[in-house]
Parts: sequence; structure tokens; C-alpha cells
Amino acid sequence: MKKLLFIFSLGVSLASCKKFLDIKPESQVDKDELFKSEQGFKEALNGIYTKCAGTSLYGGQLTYNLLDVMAQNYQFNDIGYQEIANFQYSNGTIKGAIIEIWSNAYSAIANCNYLLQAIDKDTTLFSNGNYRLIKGEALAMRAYLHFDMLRLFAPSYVNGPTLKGIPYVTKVGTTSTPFSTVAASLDSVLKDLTAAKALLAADPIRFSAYVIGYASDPAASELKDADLFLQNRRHRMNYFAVCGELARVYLYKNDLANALSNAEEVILSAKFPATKQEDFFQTDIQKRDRIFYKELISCFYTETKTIIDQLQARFTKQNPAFSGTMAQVNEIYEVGTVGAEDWRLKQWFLNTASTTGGPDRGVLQKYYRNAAPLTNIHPLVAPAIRLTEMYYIAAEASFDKDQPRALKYFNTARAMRGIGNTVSSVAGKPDFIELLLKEARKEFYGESQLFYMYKRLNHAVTINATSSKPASNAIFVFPLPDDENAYRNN
Amino acid sequence: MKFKFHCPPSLPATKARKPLCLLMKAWMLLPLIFLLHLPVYAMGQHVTINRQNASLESIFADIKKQTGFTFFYKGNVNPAELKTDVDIKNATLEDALQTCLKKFRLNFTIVNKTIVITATDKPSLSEPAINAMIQADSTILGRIVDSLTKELMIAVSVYVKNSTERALSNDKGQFSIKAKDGDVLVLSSVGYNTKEVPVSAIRNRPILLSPKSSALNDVVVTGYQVIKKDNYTGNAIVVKGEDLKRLNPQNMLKGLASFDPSFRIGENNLLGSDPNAMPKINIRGTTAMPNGEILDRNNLSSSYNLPVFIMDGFEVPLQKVVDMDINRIASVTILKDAAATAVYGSRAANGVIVITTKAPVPGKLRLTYNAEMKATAPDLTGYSVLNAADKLAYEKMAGLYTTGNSSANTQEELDAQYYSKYKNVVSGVNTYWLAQPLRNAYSQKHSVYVEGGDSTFRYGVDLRYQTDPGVMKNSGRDRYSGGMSFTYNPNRKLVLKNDLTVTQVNARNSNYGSFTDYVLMNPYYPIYGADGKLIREISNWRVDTHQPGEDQYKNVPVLNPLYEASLGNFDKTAYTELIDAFSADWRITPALRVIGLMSLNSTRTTSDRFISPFSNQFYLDPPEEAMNKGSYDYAATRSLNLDGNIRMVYNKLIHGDHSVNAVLGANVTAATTDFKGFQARGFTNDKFSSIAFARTYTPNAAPKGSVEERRLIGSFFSGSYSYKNRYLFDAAVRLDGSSAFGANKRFAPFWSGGIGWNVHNEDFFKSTFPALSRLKLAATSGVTGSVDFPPFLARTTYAYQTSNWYSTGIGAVVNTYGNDNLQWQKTTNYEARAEIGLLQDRIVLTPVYYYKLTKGLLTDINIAPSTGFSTYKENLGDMANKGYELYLTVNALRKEHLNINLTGNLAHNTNTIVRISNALKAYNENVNKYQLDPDKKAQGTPLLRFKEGQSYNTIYGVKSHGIDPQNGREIYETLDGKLTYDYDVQNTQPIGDYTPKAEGFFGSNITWKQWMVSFSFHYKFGGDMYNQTLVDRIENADPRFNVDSRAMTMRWQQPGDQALYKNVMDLTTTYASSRFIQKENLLELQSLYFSYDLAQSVARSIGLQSLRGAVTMNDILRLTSVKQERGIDYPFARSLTCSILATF
Repeated sequence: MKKLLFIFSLGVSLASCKKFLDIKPESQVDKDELFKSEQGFKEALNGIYTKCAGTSLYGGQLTYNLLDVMAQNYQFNDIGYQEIANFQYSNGTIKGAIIEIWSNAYSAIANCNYLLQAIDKDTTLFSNGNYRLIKGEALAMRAYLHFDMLRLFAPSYVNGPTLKGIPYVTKVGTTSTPFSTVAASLDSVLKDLTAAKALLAADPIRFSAYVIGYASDPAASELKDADLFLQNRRHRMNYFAVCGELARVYLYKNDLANALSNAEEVILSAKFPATKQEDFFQTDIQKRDRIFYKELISCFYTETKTIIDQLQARFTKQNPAFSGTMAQVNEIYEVGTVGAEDWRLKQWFLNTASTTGGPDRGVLQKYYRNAAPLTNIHPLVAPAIRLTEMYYIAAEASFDKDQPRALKYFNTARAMRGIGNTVSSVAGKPDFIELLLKEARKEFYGESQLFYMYKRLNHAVTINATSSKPASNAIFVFPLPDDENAYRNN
Repeated sequence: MKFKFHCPPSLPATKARKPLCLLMKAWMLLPLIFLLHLPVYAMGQHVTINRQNASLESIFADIKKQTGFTFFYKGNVNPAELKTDVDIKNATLEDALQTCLKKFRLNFTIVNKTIVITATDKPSLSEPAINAMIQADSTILGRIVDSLTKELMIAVSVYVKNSTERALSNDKGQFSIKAKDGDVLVLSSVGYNTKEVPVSAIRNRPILLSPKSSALNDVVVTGYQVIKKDNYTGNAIVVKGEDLKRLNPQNMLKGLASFDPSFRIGENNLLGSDPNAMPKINIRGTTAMPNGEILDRNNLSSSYNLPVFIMDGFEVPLQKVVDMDINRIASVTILKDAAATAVYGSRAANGVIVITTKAPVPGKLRLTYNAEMKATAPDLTGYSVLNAADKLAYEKMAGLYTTGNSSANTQEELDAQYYSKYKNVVSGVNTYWLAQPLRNAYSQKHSVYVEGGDSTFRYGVDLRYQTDPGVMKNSGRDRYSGGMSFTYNPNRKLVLKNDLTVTQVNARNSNYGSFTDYVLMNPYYPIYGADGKLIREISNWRVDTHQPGEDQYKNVPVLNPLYEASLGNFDKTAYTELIDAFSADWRITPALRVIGLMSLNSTRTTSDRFISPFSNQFYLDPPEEAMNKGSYDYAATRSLNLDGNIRMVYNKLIHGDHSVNAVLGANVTAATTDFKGFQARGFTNDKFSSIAFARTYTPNAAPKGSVEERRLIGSFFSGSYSYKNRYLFDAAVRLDGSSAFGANKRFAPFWSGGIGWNVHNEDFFKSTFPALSRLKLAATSGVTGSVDFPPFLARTTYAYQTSNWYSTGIGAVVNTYGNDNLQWQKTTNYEARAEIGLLQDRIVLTPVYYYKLTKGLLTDINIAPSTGFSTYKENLGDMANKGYELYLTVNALRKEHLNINLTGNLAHNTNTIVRISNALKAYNENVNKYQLDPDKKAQGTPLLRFKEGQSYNTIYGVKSHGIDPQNGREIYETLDGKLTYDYDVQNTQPIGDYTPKAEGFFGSNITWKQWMVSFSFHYKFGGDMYNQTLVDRIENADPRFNVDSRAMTMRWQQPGDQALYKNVMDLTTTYASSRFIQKENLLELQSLYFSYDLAQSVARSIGLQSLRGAVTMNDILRLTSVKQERGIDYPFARSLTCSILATF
């Protein structure tokens, strides 16, 4: 009997069995396995950007889709798109897009959280300050995504800081995180961004050796680092991107001083050179800068076939899904007053006769890709934060205290786009805001930032010179996806 | 051919060796002395002898001294060895001799002064030296053979009743045992009726042991244990390989279904009789939910709800069972209830099928050859398509040639189209497209088995060649296998066995494409053009797509499917499988054994699929894709399964009343599958189909690959105890650990218990129930599990975005939320069973009732997307299955030459979904959307939906009140009972249930002399069937293609028509509604078998030991109340197999 017991206990000696049963998958990577090396953290971080650059987020929905339609930049025959432009959230396309945006953004946030949960376990894995870089970027991305969800799915801060905001998710699990108020959500965003800014203090982009420029430019160093991971800092959350995002968030929270200081930190760094006219007007289409590439503080790399195809269908093919009439475009760019020489109007819009009848169309060339084998001077990217936005923020934030400074920023930004006309005085802040909005609409055409601006300012949405859609939460607040309401478990 | 063994025979008992050898020598002298048999009378001599334990020789010496008579011995007489006590005083010589010899079977005759002592009976001339004899010290020698096959039986246990003397028969079927004259020998062997033979009856004839009929097979092989069925409370159906083969020589699983109605093979209406399709098996109802994707019942994979297959102690995949040589199967056991399956723990919830292969039989080298010729013919009875003239008339009726329905063509154009077709019709074009891809297929199978050896070393070698062409041209599955096994017992305590099998299977799918392509072709289309060449584009329809703009009209070409078949396309799969199993069996004491088993199964599968650049598939590709036409898919899978188990078996009868059978063991399995595959594109020429001719890989596609690993470790105890063969107790526990479980739930306990009562062994039984010969009652209960999910589901894994690098390197993204708490599904089983025997068990009836509740079904749980995930896997959901089974065997007639057995069974299973997760509820909503989506082409299909309280087999659709005779429109019923003409998917509700009232088999076995006839019918009644043909081929059928003939005759045409199908002019979509539900009653003759065994004497005369010829017909007759097309992509088939089995 003793023998029997012995064999039985041998059979069930759990400790060794547990190890035997713990198999790491080979063709997929187990989470614990991935976070055993610095390389794994780098890949997980790249994964977050890959996800964000996908068509559901910044490589599609959040850069050149709904929000841009809602900025009233196009003219549609299609009833579905007309409904979107009219903020009819019951529209099936919007509903689908909303689910896609919300779930993918939070999925990207979960990716950040998995990384952040693991990164402090063993900091000796990292070399050369990569720990600070990776952690800082992950925190910044978490804040960046949450902030955009807040800007979409919650009322603006001016409209109700104590109203229901969004769930600020900092851990992974199947239990849903409760909603915070708008103010509390903003505080969480700021907390993460501030921490990220501190961690990114030694970001290579801050050093003089890091020179921004086109890949073909011998002086530019963006692709020079031997480590692929440290190249293209502007395709990821770099130190200045965090500053820029902080400026955005503070402005959203109406904290003008902090917004100004962060925006100025970017501007004064002089890291991001203004685009040269000859680059923007380059006749060799291979060398033409269509997006003011060097002025991008941060962007998402979207050089994939899917996105290129989508952009073509949306903007540049024979009969693009999105296009404004030429008259509409001329109105936006103020051809009759200050905009006759606007670079953007001249280069971004191709006057095309409509195939379906009706007036001529201005077909957007911002995301045009040369047909292979011709290459482009810059990769296809979805702009996240632009230098001009920093000027607009600095202008808006300094206006109350220092009007000349505000006008200087405003005029500089205009001059960068070939508008010679300078504004020397403004009657009051509302007038200045109108000027800024007009400028932003030109700059962010096809980039979706204008919607946020209207919302932040609780400003009516301009349709054209004579009509607008009054500001209200009904148009500015996206409804939550049904699944979010149905399946919350607390 | 006759093989002889020249080694001296070895015997298990050394005691018996000597007399046997003597016996043999004596036999050699026999012809010399046989002639001396002459009758005479003894003289009046008197003798006195008093001796104790004296040899006959010395006694005879005394007699010789006293009488002067001399002795002569005739036959197997050895007086020196025969000892006895004598006390004779002054007896006559005759009396004295009689006294001396009475104990021995010796006779005497006195001739002059010589006493001739002869053995009582003449030894048999046909068999050497193996007849039973009485020896000097009462050692009985005997030989045992199988009463049916007349084969020698080894390892038959022999004991003397009321004594401790025991023996086993050796490899020549012989035994020797010490016994007295009046003793009775008891012979018993697994699978045979125990026989009692008085010693006096053991004359020179062999003792015949008759095998038990299969319904009452004596033992159950659980894979870990061999248990006497009488003392077992679990539910096991044991089927002998030979019986399986009789029912279906090609498909073991189909044969198995006839023995147990709860073992169901789902009819695959898409793949029909495709030899390469894997069957879908289910035992006692569904215990799992399909996950995620929207499913049509036809699309469920074969791994779903699959029972576990155990072959000779280790787990094998379904494919192995499908491809194994049926001749190698000794028996198959279906284990169903908890008591029987609990030792398999986490794998057991769907039942366990235990397959035992034949072990080599020792003896002279024996060669068995089996040849089979099979003819297969397609069964198109479900199909009824229109002929050319009718089809054209139907098109006209459907309004294809009037402009009212379409603006695509002018009336002149339509008329022109019509008359060009009409020209075809009148010129006699009436192509029977259905026949084009089909053929009658002839296949053959040859298998050879060589076995032999002695009691220490036995071996077997088998070889097989088997082709199995399908009825679709060029499809088929060829199997080659070879195996070698040996058993080595270096001593009586240790048995070592090794089995090595290598199998090669080459499968190819038809290059004719899907059968449905041919069904759809119009009969007025010619196959060949006027030039005698295949036409590629037979016709072209201009279709109004009702899309705005330039896309409104579209030319839809009709491409000739036979053109496709004329190309160099191929689609083949081949695998090589190597299985080696080694086991050691150590008998520590007669009651205690330790058995260890190790097996290795290594399989390499490759699949190659080439689609010619000229294929119709690329017909509509834009010109810029010209260089990418043609594709070649290559995939290779390597899998390696290791299985090891060790167990200690204790088996003892204590004090005659307490029978104990216990096993304690542990097993470990590890399985790895490594899949790699890629596609190449751009072929220039049809003939250059080597992948080397490909121009490139598929643009923007990456190679595929996956590695799956699964490990399982378990320890178990199973014991049974019976008291006086009356009160039975069974218990089993198992602790399983699986790598598929979540990190927090690595180990799962399972258990079972059973009680039983052999009422027939009670003293009161015979007096109380004189009509009954047998009554056994048993009840079992327990918990078993199943792990039906992919191995890495419980882990959080990252996927590399290999085809989508970010500018700063490759990214890894989280796949799914890994639930660390994920665990096995638990099925609680209850079962009650009775076995009732009447008229000496000539009628045996076994009713069974069971209830299974599966808890913790693995399902998706929807969670708020703000968690980062929309779903995760959780054990949530309950499903219940209950039902009854009834088995009947009747030995209707048992005469010397005629034996008639009848068998029948019946089963009913009710499935109820008790609880489902929120995700499945949300899934139903998605199904509604899917149903409406015209692109999915599922509007007329009743899709799977799940509702608590309903069955898994419920059919969902909208209730219909038929066709309104006024206008030919369908009348629907809304959920609140109102009638409407408008279809609304929200009105979908249960409209039927596939569950039959009962399903089962009945058949008979008739043997008359050497003839045998057996047949098996499958029946089913009371269930519903959704007749998909009525929807797809009558109402939703595109009139531009061929349709079911009922489309022409049974549709509504004018007001007042009481039609089953809506207006013939109505081309709108028909949705799934109760109008297409029909009651399904089915009777099919699944197999019919005839065989003839050549009489043994005749067989011997031509150098054979036995010869059997047999004919089996499968799926010959099918009567059903539902007329629908069966075998959509591949038709069903009927087959006839002729076989010859010869043993040399």
C-alpha cells in the first residue's frame, strides 16, 4: 500500500507538473515572454503606434473622415455623408465609426497599460535611457488617446467640467473603469503628460545633433541613428510632441499660462524649420513637400497599401468621395480678401471638372502619393501636431495679456503660408478667435483638428459665409457606443 | 502453402512436458502396432497382489510371475509411469487386470498367453499428439479450439472445480492439469462462454469454446483496464472488428454507428460521399457552443463535439481512425457514461472510443490475405432538374424574355436571346450536366497479415494497399500502410510489446470543382462548340444590378465548368504517419501488475493546390493583373504527439466472494503541431505547374505559420468491487492538468461512482422471476470535462505586425485578453440502466436513461470596449442533454446449421440550452443582420441562433401561413400572432427542431451452414427538416440557371392556385420561413452482407486454413419523407464491395 501511495503522490506532484504545463506559444508571443527583453518593450511600443496609425484611428477615422466632414469642408451628393455633415449621430456609418474609434482607442490604451504594467518590474533590462524613453512615450500615448476620446465623447470643459467625462483606464482587466468627470479626466491626462515630459527630458530630438529634414537632405539626421528605434522621432511621441499636447490640453482646460509656456517651448526651440516655398512648389513631383513635413511636431506613419488606397479613394481618384466645390474652397481660403496667394490653395487643390455634373471640384492633393516607381520626398503620414497649431495656441493664450505678442504669432503663422497681409490690431478677443478659426480651417483641411477647436470654444460650426450650425452638446458630443452602455460591469 | 514449425514445442508447465513428449513418441509407433488388434478370452488364472503406489509395470511383472502370461502394449501406454494402489486377493486374471486398469483408460485383451494392453480410444489420425489422455498421475492433457473458427485458443484459463489446480493453455491450445477421474474442468477465456467439462468427457476430441455473442461480450476494455462486463456498472458498447467490417468494410465509423444509436455521424450534406471529408461525430448530444462566427449548420467543423479516440492505450486523432485498416481492429468500445469515462477526465465529456488492434497469435506462421474490390456509383436520387425544353419554358414563364422585369435589354434583344436558345433546344441540345463530373469508381484493397511465434516471442507483420476513388472524377484517397508488432515474454512475469505502423495517405480533390456548378448549368447549353472544342464562355447574360450610374448593367458570363476541369488544376494532400507504441507489462504477483506504455505519433502533411492561369477564377481579372494569374498554395504541417502512461492494476478474487479490480496510474501527453504555408502567384502556362515556375509570391501577403502546443498530465484511480457477483461498486477519480487551462486553474478534478446489482445472481431470483434469466440494474454518476478550445486561449499573446512595419521597427500588438481563470467545461452525468435477459439470454433488452448537464461552456463574454477588449473567453453557459437508449438482441433461432440473430436499437436525445452568455444573445442580433445581407447569400438559410430554453437543434425562421392563393405571396406571422405579407427578420422564432423522436438501427444476422447474411437498417422519425432545396432551388433559384423541376410545376401562377411555392414571376428573395419545414421520416438500408466460408476440409485440401468470400452493399436504399438535393458540393454514393479473406 505504501508503494501505491508513493506512486500516486509522484503522479500528482503538482509543482513540477505546473512547469510542464506552462507552455509558451511559439507562433504568437506570450506577454510575459515579450516583456523579458528591451527589444520586446520596443516592439510593444511600436505596436501601439502601428495600432494608432491604423485606419480605425489616426490613419483613418480620426484624421480624414468624420470629423473633417463635420468641419463642413466638402460638398456631398451622397445622403449618408450629408447626414454626417449634419451631425446626425443616428446615421449607420457614424454609429459604426464611433464603435470603431472607441474600441480601437481603448484597445491601444490597453496596449499602453500592458507595457506600463511590465516596465517597472526590471529596469535593468534597458540601456541608454531607453527605459525613460519607452515609459515616457507609453504614458504620453495613453494620455493622447484618452484626451481625444474626451474631446469626442464628453462635453467640452467650458460647457461642463463636472459633467460625465470618460473612463481613464490605467490597468488591464475585464472590469470596466468608472467614468470620471471632464475635469478629472483632464487632470489624469495632464498627470500622464507631465510624467511623460519629465521622462522624455533626454529625448534625442532635443539635442542639436538631431536635425529635422527630408530623408534626401544630407544635413538631416532623422534617419541617421544606427538604431532604427531611435530614428524618426517625430513619428512617435517625442519631447516636443508632449509639450505640444500639453499646450493643447491646458488650452482645452482654459489654463492659458501653461498652454502658452508649452507652446512657446516648442516654438522657441526652433527645432522645426518652416517649409521653404521651393519645396512646397517643387515642380518635380518626387521632391514636392505636400504636407509641410518639417513642421510636423508629431505624426503617425501611415505608409501602408490599405491607407494609400483609402486616401486615393477618398481624395485623389477620378471621382473622390470627399471633395469641396471650387467655390467652397475659394471661400474657405478667402480668395477675395487675404488668400489669393495662399500656398495651400495653390498647391493642395486641383481644380477638376465634376464627372457627375455640377460645379468644378477642388480635389485635395495633401495626401497624394506618386505612382510607383516614383518616390515621394516624405513618407505618408497622418499629422498629429503641427508647428502652426503651436502658433495658434500661443496667439490665443497670450492675447488677453499681450495682444502684440499674440498678433505676432498669428502673423508669423500666416506668413509661413504665403499670406502677406498682416493684422496689426483686433477689436477684441471674439474677433481674434474668428481670425484664428478661419486660419485653422485652412491649415487643418483634411486633418480633423477644426472640430475640436469649435468644440473647445463652444463656437458655432461655420458652414459657409452665410450659414452655421449653432454650438451645442448635441452636435459636439459623440454618443457612446451601445456596447459600452450595455456591457459595463460596474 | 503450408508452413511447419520445427522447434520443439514449449509448454508453460514443465510438469506436463514429459508425458507429452512420450505421447508423441508413442504416436510414431502407432502404425506398427495398430494391426495387432484381435479379440480373445482370458483363461481361469488367479492372482494376488498387494502394493501401494506401484507402477503398472511392476504390477504386471507380478502378474507375469504368478500367471506366466506376458504383456504386450499397444498405443500410448507407458506402464512404468502409471502408478496405482492394488489390493487383490485371489482374483481371476480378468478381474485383477480390470481392477488394475480401471483407473486408467486402458483395455486389455488376452491372446493365448499374451495380455495386450491397449489405450481405450484410438487416437485421432488427423492431429498429432494432442489428444486428451489420462496419464499415470492423473495429469489431464487437452486441446482447446474456438467453436466457430476452429482456431487454437491460447491462454485459456483452466481449473479443476473445487480444487486449487489451475493451468493455462499454451500456444498450441494445449493444457495439462492434474485432476481426478470424477473432476470437472472449468475453462474460461475473455470473450467466450465459460465451459465446464467432466474429465471423463475429455476424450480425444478437442474442447470447443464458443464465443459470446457481441451483445453479451464478457469484458470491457476501458483503455486502462479490462473489466468483466458483468461486474461493471459503466455503460460500454463493445463491438468486434469483424462485426464492424461486416457492416461497412470501408468505413469503420459508419459501421460503429449501427451498434449504438447515440453515436451519431452527422450527414454532411455539402460534402456527401467525398472520400476526403472527415465525419462529424457526436455522442449523446451537443455539449459545446460554436464560438464567434455566424454559422450555418453545415459549416461546423468535424472537431466540434468530437469524442476522444484511444487506440491501444493512447490518444489518436480522428484522421487516424478514418484511415486505419479495418482488418487490424480487434474490437471497438464506446464508453459513454461517467463511470466508464471518468478515467479520461478532462477529455471525456464527449465520450471515449477505445480501439484495440489485433495482437499476433502464436503458432505456426500464418498468413492472412484480404482482398476487396469496391464499386461505387453516385446517388442522384435527390436531384431532379429540368430538361432543355422545360428549362426554356420555365425561363419564359419566369419572365426572362419580357422587358417588364428588366431594363437591361430591349424586347428585340430578348426575343433574339430566346430564339437562339430555342434553336439549341430544337436542334436537340439537352446536356445532362449532372453526369459530366461523375463516374462509377472502382477501388481495391489488399492486405496481408503474417503472424506467428511461440509463447515467448510472437510477431505480426501487416501490409496494406487501398485505393478509394470517389465518384467525382479524379477525386480519391489512397492509403498504404505497413506495420510490425511483436510481443516478447522473457519470463512469465514480464511481457514486452512493440507496435510500429507507418501509413501513407494520398488524397486528391476533384479538379472538376463543386458539383453544384454542374447542377446549375442549363441543359440547352452545349459543352463543345461546332469545332469540337470545349467552349469556355458558354453564354452571357446582361443583368440589371439596380445600382446607380455606369454600374447598372453588367455582363455576367456563364463559364463552362468542364473547361476548368480540362486545365492542369490540382488539389492534393498527402501525409506520412509513423506510430510506435511500446509497452511493458510486469506481473509482480498474480494479482498485481504494473503496465507502462509509451507512444510516439509523428505525422507530416503536405498540401499542394495549383490553379491554372487559364482558370475561370481569373477570367474577370483586370488586364494589369495578367502577370499574377495562376496560383499555387503550398502548406506543410508537422505534428508530433507523445503519450506515456503508467498504471498499476490490481485484480483479485478474495475468499471467492470479494472481487476487486483497481487501477492507479498517471499519464502524460504532449502534442505539437507546426504549420507553415504560402501562396505563389503568376504562372505562365497551364502545363508548368511546378511551383518553380511561379513569378512571385502573392502581392502584399505574408507566409503563414503557426505552432500549437498542448500538454496534459493526469493521474487517476479507478476501482471496482463486487460482492459475490451480486453487488457492484465502481469509483474513479482523476486529476488533470492541461496547458490549455488558465494559469490560475491548472488542475481539474473529475470523479465518478457507480452501483450495480446483479439480481440474477441472487438465490431468490430463479424462483421469483422464472421467465427471466438475467436482470442487472446499474446507476452511475460523475463529472467529466472537455477542453474544446485552442491551446493558447488562456494566455495574453502578442501578434507581430509582420506585414505592416512601423517606421521605427516592427510592432507587436495584444491579440486577446488572456483569461487566467479559464478552465474546462464540466459535464455532470447521471445514468440508470437495466439489463434484462429472457429465455436463457436468448432475448436481451437493455434500457438506458441518462441526463448530462454541461456547465461552464466556454463562450465569449461581451465587455465594455473601454476595457480595451470587446469580448473575452469565460466559462459561462449551461447545456443539458437527456435521453434514453434501448438495445435489443434476440437469438431467434439456434439450430445446428441455422442461427438467426436479430438486433435493434433506439435512442432519443433532448438538448436544452439552459444558460447562455450576453455575447451569444448579442450574436443573435448579428445573425439577424447577416440573414438580411444579400452578399452573404444566407437569406433562405435557417442560421444557428441560441435561446435559453430552446434546443441546440432548434430551427429558427419566421412563421409562415403558406402562399396566399389570391396573389401568390407568402403570409407571415409576427411574434404577436398577426398576419402580414412583409418579411421582418425580427419575427424570427423557433419554427422546428431537428431532434427526431427516435433514431436507431435494426438488423439481423443469419448463418446457415457456411453461409451468412446480415443487414442493417437505419431509421429516424419525428424530427423536422428544413428543406433547403425548396428555398435555394425553387424560389431563390436564379431562373437564368437550372432549377429543381418543382420550380416549374408547383409555383403559384394565377389567382386561386393552391400552390406551395410563391408566384413564378416573383423574383424577390425568399427568406427562411416555416413553409420549408418538413417532417423527416427516414429508413435506409445501410448495409447488406453475404458471405460464404469454404468448408474447412475443402479449404485444407487446397492448402488453406480457411477461405471466405463476402459481398457488402452500402447505402443501397433510402426512403425519406423529405425530397431534397443531397450532396451539394459532392454527391452521395452507393457502394458494393466484394472481398476474399484467406488464411494460409
